[in-house]
Amino acid sequence: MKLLQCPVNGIRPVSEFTYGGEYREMPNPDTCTDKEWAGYVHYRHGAPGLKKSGGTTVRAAPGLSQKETR
Amino acid sequence: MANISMRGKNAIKTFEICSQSRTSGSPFSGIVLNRKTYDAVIIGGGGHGLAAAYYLAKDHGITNVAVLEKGYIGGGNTGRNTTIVRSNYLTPEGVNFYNASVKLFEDLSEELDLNLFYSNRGHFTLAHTDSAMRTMRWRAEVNKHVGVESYVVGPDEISKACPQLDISCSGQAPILGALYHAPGSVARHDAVAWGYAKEADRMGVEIFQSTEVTSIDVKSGKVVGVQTNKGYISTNRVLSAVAGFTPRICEMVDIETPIVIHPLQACVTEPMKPWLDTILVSGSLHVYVSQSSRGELVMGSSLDPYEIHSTRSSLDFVEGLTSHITDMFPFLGNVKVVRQWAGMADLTPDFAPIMGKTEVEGFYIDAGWGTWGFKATPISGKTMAETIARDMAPDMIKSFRLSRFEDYELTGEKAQPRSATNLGIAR
Repeated sequence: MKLLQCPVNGIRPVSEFTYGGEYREMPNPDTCTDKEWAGYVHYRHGAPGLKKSGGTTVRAAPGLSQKETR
Repeated sequence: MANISMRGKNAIKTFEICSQSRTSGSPFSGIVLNRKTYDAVIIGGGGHGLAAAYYLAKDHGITNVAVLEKGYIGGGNTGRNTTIVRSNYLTPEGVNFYNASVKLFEDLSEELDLNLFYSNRGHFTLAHTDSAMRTMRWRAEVNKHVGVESYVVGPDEISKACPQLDISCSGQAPILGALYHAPGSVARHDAVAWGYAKEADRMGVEIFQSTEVTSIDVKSGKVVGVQTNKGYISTNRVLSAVAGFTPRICEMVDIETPIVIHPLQACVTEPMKPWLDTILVSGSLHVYVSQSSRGELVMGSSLDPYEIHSTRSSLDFVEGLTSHITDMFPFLGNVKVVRQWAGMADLTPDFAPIMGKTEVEGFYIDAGWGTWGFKATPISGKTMAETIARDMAPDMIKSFRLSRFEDYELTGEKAQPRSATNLGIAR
């Protein structure tokens, strides 16, 4: 079992977490084009490299609520 | 024909099977590029790329084709999957597409003149819950509607087909029934790559191993060539068939895709006498298992839950898998796992592939095969060859086009492989 140091819940099994993917800036839905919005919703930087983190949003296992640490 | 005086230093013994047509004994086309210009360049010498090369030559008479493989042929996901071939999908488009692949597979050993050890076993997708049973009935009806032999069976029929299976799964998750899929089969996966390579090579296609594409030359929105570690090639048609390397290749032509890479792991046990005739899959237990022609149990589980571009394997995987497999077959407790490995699965948000043309003229994509690409090898090769030859995707793969994401026309393929069900990627 792999363990993860969670900033909120301490050391927990990695299976209790869901990886949410790279952090992405949301374009303004009122001003962006349909294509830009589709890109935000679907497209990802799939190539290897540093992934951007958007603070520490912790998505916990089902049954627990989502918590933000800042 | 290729310049056969150039011998591959990296000749690998297994490829001797493919080089019988060449008097030099050299595997395929040696170590330097023979020509400066090709009618089409295929990046990726896995099953999909080699099948596309084969059908380009056979169906369309296009033989001035180079297949560029960074490593050795069939060494990527083609040689890393758990070799299952099936067509029991959920949408009529999905069932028809994979059924066409199964039909090609059935005659492929003869067509390629190489024994692929294609073995029809029957395939049980076990259901441990009422909701799973409901999905099995749905899939069975869609399958029957398009003429594929799938139906729902109860525990008695499962026990009859596999008496060794503990129907209660050690009391953990009793089996209520299963979707039985008669055409479900296994095949020697690397032989599929070898067979396509051998026949493509015979028709004049040139296959270059240890040949890495470093950039793709695009001028005014059109492909004009590729730069490799062996030199520059002029071409106006390039197919990317590189599975886990797709995001890197797409970056070279500045095309965005939704593909992310997660590792998928698998393992085999020591060989045993044949006892498991069928292919068994359990969604709830995240297990699929079959017995190879060598007697090993070939087992897979679910995707690793994070992005990583690596083929390392982990104790975590084998620990989880063996715990579930011994729930199903308690007597396997003393059997040893002898090998484990991983492949880089290229995943899409709707669990369907990305096939066809792109915004860049002459750049074609065959990707997003995630955990289900092996079974599609023949049909993807055939349809991509047609796409390249006519610069137009055939109707069968139109719903898999890359632009579906911008059009918000994702496919409805929910009968995703068991290996992908744990993937709660927040999309």
